[in-house]
Amino acid sequence: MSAMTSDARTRVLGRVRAALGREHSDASPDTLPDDIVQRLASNRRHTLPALGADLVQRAIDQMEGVLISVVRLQSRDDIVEAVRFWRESEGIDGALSVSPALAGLAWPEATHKGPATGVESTSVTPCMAAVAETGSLALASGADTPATLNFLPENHVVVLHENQIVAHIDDVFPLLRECSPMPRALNFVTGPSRTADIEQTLEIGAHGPRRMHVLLLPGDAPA
Amino acid sequence: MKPQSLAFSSNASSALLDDDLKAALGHVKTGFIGKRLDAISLVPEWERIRQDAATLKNHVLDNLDHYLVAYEASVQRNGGQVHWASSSEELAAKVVDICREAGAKMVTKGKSMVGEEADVNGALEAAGIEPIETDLGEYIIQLAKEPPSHIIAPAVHKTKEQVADLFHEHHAQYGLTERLIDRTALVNEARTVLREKFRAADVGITGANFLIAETGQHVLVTNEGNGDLTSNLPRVQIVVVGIEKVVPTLEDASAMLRLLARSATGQHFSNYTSLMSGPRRDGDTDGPEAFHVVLVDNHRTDMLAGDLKEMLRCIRCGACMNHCPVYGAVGGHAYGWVYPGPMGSVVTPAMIGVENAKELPHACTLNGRCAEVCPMSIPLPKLLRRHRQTTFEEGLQSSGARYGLGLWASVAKRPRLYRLLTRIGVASLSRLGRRRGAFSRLPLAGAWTRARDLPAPQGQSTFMALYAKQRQGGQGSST
Repeated sequence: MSAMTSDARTRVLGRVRAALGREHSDASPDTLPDDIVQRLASNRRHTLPALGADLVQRAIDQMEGVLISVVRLQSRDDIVEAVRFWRESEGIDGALSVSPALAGLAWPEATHKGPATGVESTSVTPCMAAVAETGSLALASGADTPATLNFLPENHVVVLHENQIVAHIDDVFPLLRECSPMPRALNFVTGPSRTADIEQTLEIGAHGPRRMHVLLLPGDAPA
Repeated sequence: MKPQSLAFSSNASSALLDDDLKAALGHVKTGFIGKRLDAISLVPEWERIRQDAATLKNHVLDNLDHYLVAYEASVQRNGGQVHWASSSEELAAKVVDICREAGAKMVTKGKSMVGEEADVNGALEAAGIEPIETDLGEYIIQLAKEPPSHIIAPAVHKTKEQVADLFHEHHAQYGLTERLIDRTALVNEARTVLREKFRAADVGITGANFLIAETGQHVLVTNEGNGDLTSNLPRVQIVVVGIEKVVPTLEDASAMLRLLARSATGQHFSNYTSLMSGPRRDGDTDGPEAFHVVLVDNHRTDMLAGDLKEMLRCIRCGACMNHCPVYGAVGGHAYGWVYPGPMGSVVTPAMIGVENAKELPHACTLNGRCAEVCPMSIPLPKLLRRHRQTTFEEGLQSSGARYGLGLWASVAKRPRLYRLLTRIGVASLSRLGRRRGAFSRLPLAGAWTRARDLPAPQGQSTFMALYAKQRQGGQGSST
């Protein structure tokens, strides 16, 4: 820590304490008051919107509402063909890049397995969860799930198992807390990239993917 | 940027005559207000979520030092570096330092209002480092060399023809020489140009919507995905953020996120809501190699100590300006600095000095719509009145206004005199205006009659006179 930063830290924290009418303290994470430590460990939830009973249908409806197309598959053996079929029906050419987590499937030979390099038109990734509340896909970064696959390719296919669908955003957090180390990035993606920065008119495909497609499988995701 | 807030009146007058601006501002109404209402109507729990969030944020502000220390420790645990800046100048200097140490020639930026406070772009350019804004709206105004006119739609004042001209002028260097006018084509053109910048940048700089003390993550919300490309592709990631953005836990951030997108754009959730912390982990094959966050004060502690503490609950959604009749008529540039609209009229005087923005607290009709729609229940009109009081107490108003207010106050404190004078005034105005029913000119009321007629009083009695008469007659005295 440079001297300037250290000074600025003392000054800013000192000003915060003065504003709150508090005594100076040593500003160490080891001496936080008990109630703050408890609050940080509480995981207390606030008011959550009611969602209805059928979370799977709600998730599908929400995803379709934000322009994510959803198709149901019977088994993981169908994933490769479903990606091929979707690309063909959407008229998508170009290279395919898949998360190393999905490398075990029978992909065409030229398929890139790793982070996006910028030349691939389509990525295929697994997800940590999908959220019925918002239609968001929760994508955690890691060695087997590079985050660039979520943003660089024009077309993004996500493999989702029914049992990965959770009710609220808050239900993803216990899954995140189980991770060690904490993933560098947890991306909640809720539809293809969009902008309304020109005359407040919606345009799809600003910087990230233009199309998103979910392959919905029964049961649990493989561990 | 150098604040121009003192010139609010003249800025506003010219804005009112700008037809392009009027056309562009029409999109604020169609683009924001109805969508927000639709989104909220689907959440019956809205008011409770709103109350939770205000309570939560009040708790954070009362314990801000503790949560900042906890956040810092969590970031360090994730391998990131935390820096502090007490002023906007220190923030800009810190960012330049980190970029220099990284040997950066070009940096991409996600939209950051804190970055605008500090004119980070100006500081980078002065240091020979090229900053490229990547939010489409922010990119447009960077090309136009203008400040943002809205905190979430920075180029809302531009028509698509103006955007077409800017792209035509600036994109020839990339071999894009055709002047495109279609919106989709313009978005694609920006995508093509910026895609190369994302990949070539040495450093990515973004703001943050929330900081989570528990995990050391910052939350970054965008619709375009530009914030994520800025955060994931360059070697070095820098986050610049105000100290008030910290919340205790993931669940606390989630409560605020339920309010943010709905209030801002009428979406249930923004397209990209990303929680990030630290550089790439062992085994990761992408992501930055170094992670820095700069926590900036820039007068936030002054607000914490004083009457404006409630303003620190602000989550920068822009709902207040979308619903403000003054903003809707004059646009964001008239406010003369980084933050426009009601929240800007409160924050700007606090950050650049009330003497440099003394007209802003008066750019308000006290209609109260801003407080009504504020997801964090900030009493904006009350805070604006505080500023008005300060400008009066510090003698910052014109002598005419001070003299007039003083005169009115001395009369208002003497009820008999006040009633007598109003009775005389109403009676004579009523008599004088009987023939035409209105005045097009009136002494001492030039500011009013220049733009509209003053209706003549109907009848010769004041309310108090009528009231007294009714009481005597035994009517209307039931209360």
